[in-house]
Amino acid sequence: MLARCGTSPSSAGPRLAPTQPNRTSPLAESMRHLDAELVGFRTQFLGQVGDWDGAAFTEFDLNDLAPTDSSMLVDGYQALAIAFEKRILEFNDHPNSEAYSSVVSGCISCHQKACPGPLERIAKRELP
Amino acid sequence: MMNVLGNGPFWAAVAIGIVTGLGCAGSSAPIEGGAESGQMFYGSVIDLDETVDAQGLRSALENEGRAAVRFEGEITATCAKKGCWMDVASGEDTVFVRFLDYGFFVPTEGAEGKRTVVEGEAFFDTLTVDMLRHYAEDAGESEAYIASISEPELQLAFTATGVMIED
Repeated sequence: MLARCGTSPSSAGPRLAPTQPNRTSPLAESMRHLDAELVGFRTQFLGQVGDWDGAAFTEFDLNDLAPTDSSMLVDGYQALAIAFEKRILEFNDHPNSEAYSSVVSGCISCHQKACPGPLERIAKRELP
Repeated sequence: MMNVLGNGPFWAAVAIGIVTGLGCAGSSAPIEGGAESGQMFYGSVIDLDETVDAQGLRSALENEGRAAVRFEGEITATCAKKGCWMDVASGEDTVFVRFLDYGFFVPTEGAEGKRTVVEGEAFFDTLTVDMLRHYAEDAGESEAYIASISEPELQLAFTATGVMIED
């Protein structure tokens, strides 16, 4: 099971591809960034810290970021993106569980329409 | 759930594999080495022994409807947009393979016809019309074909924690 990751080349051992071996996009990168923030804030709240102090999402302009494929810009995407950015701002202004859950719901709303692949992953960001 | 691979060691290995795989996020090139084998791993490095074909997969699913297995077949299609799923054929069956938690991806092109081994959980899944249309769009199907999809479909499905693709 041992595989190297980011180490110097060697003549032995299996080859493990990067997580995303294909072309990516600014929009996809922003999604990964926000997902990492969801994980971090959720862990902080559910862990020993038990609060949302210092939690603030990066404020992306999602209508300005290029997607991996134009088909992801489904009807209603622009409005969903604006609504999502509003949820982000509300959380950043007053970080709390309700505002966090609202951000997760915003992720789900958009991905149900635009790209359902990550829905299972997003569901794991919900609070218990 | 039936576990063809055994319990503790398998899931411990999966956990290690996931961590290892995610640890590569952001890297821009595959890890070199072992090139003589022509094998590339995605998500995690998996063992390649004790694999089952589609018939074995169906047998494993008979008892509980889900099974932890290592499945071997030939790639017939991958998601052309993101690399977030692939169809793997074995015998008369085609298994729809997705990747755990959208946590890793396979090449969007050039994988068709190659041998693959996938490790994870097999199950039967009913795909809705919306999902079928979305995946058809991913695969680059024509608008006429996508519009013709009108019924949900029961499929042999697989959530992979690790994938090997052989050149």
